[in-house]
Amino acid sequence: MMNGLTGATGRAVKPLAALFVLVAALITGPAAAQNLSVDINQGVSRPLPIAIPDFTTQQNVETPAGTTSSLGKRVAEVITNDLKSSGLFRPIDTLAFTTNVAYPDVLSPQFASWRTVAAQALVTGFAEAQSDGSVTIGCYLYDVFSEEVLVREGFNTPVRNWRRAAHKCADAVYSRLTGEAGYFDSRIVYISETGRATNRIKRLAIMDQDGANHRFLTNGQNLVLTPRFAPNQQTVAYLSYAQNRPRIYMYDVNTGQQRLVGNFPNMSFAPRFSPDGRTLAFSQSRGGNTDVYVMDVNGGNVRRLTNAPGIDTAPSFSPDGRRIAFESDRGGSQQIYVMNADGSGQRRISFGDGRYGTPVWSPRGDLIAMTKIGGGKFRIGVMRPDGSGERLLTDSWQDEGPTWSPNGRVIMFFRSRRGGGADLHSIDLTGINERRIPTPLEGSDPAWSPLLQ
Amino acid sequence: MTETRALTMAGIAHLALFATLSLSWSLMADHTITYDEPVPVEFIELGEMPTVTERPEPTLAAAPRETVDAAPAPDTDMLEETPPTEAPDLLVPTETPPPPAKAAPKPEPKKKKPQELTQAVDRNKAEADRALEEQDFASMITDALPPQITLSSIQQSTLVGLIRERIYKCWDPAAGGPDSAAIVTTLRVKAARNGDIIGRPVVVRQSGSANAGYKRAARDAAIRAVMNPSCSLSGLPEKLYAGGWEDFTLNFDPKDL
Repeated sequence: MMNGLTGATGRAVKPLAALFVLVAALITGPAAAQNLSVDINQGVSRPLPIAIPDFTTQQNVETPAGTTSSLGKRVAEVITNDLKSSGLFRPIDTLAFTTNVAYPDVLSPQFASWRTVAAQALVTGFAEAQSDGSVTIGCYLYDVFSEEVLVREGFNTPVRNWRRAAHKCADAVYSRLTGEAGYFDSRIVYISETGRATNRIKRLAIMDQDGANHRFLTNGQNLVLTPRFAPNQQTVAYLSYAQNRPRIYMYDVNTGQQRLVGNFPNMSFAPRFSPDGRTLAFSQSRGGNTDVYVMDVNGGNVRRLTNAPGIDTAPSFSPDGRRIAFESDRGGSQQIYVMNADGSGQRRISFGDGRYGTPVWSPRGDLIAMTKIGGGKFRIGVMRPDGSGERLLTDSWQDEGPTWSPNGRVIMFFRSRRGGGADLHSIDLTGINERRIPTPLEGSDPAWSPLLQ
Repeated sequence: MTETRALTMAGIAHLALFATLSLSWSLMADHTITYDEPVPVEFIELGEMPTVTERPEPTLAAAPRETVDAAPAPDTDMLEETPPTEAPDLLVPTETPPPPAKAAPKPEPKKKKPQELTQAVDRNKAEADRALEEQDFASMITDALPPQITLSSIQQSTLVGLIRERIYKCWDPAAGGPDSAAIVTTLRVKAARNGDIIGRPVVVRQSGSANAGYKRAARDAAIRAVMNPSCSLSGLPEKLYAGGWEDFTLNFDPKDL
């Protein structure tokens, strides 16, 4: 048809014919214009090379935390350490840098020189003392190839709090480049341990996610166990053996006040908050039978959720609050089960070799972390909430007590040594990036806070 | 002599003991702390660098780019403050005005041609008749037709393989969350004959229902792959340039990874 038209003669027809061809071309054109279409469904996964030069200062001013110039250097160090520890970034050695970052370069980096050190991303910033005693940390992230600004944020904070501003900058970078929430501006509560096995002193302690700003919260007179953050992050629930009786206490991180929540005649264990912070799940043993219970945080409205013979313990809510994972030996060995938050629909999800304990639901909801016991080892692993996709992340003699980073990307746990003693470690979900968290004494039972506000 | 030494040793030992005791005392002491109220970290606007003189420092004289980059500075929008609405399909970040020196208009004319034609046709056929000669029509039609038809299918599949081989090594799909594997990012890439990327790759579309953060990260990762000099297109067959790798699309699909 088209051929016929174009074949026809006469000036009047020709434009009309051309028009037809045109229309045809326009219809098929856009699709055809993208004719050469290349599918890339293979990639290479490796930590992103990122340059984090010292943050600069326009005016070097003395502050209670050192000069702004030294502050800028330390801020860059904190950010470097944060990003590196995630396993997703490879901070480039500062010795390799071919350019000095002066104050104006913060806004106008010399991208060419960053390309020569193979940096793909660049973090620049400044530290600036304010007249009111606060400090401003400016935080910029650039894509070195496309020369785009990806992050431009400023954090104003009292000088002594500068590390939080650095963590916030690292979180902004992490979040922009991975698409997920960060986790660096968060804290860990754990049990600090010291002394002989026969006379162990256990104290509740709190520190930043990277081990900085460490403080003890209790004095060690009473044995304390299993601290857990409430979703509002200012409250920690834990067990204290005051007068040799286990009770559930709440500790207010801001005021330093403790409050007794539940005073039960029987042993109670492993309290954990519901995501809305209004309910605590815990376990309690009565007459040789340990079951999972929930109660309101004020201590009222106690409900029993399980009643199988044997030990049901270590309950952990799903992030939507609708389900609870727990461990039970009702089937003859310690395994992980999941049930609805009202106790209905209980079913076993772990079926591999060995035993499974301490399930902890990821804040993202997609995985459950657990301790797998077998082959003479305790190892940290993850599985999906239906029990599929089991993956072990650590391989040591005794790793246990997993707790999730607020974004569900990293797991912290404690590792016991054969000769006695324990310390805190973290591992990312790839299982590659493991590191020890420095603590002044030995540590166990870590609990990761939600992201600070 | 030995006496002095013994005394010194004893002195050191005492000191050490004292130090140990004081240390353990401090550890035993009641450390229950009244925790400082959380110190707020405020977000502040970073539109311009506080109190920085806008004038370039002499050290920067060698960086001609600076004047270009200085333009975005007055923009007060902080990236993170912009709500991550469902506009991640946007091609380039709109937060900053595009640097004036970009060569963006260059590739445009070719693309516009079909549009101009439709306009002309739509406006008034008679007018179009008058305005356009037969030859113009012919050349316009050729232009409007997909240029790719000049490459055979064998050539095309060869080229697809060559480009894929270049790019994949530089693509690190961002870590992403539960549903980021569903994001397919399609970029349109224009290249110069020497292999340089002209302008910046443009996101043609992104599929997948993941959140805006994941989409943005996926977009960045795809663009980084194309812009990475170690995965440059230089050296691709000259014969396959026109209608081939001068202008093509890349679909970054992480679902099989």
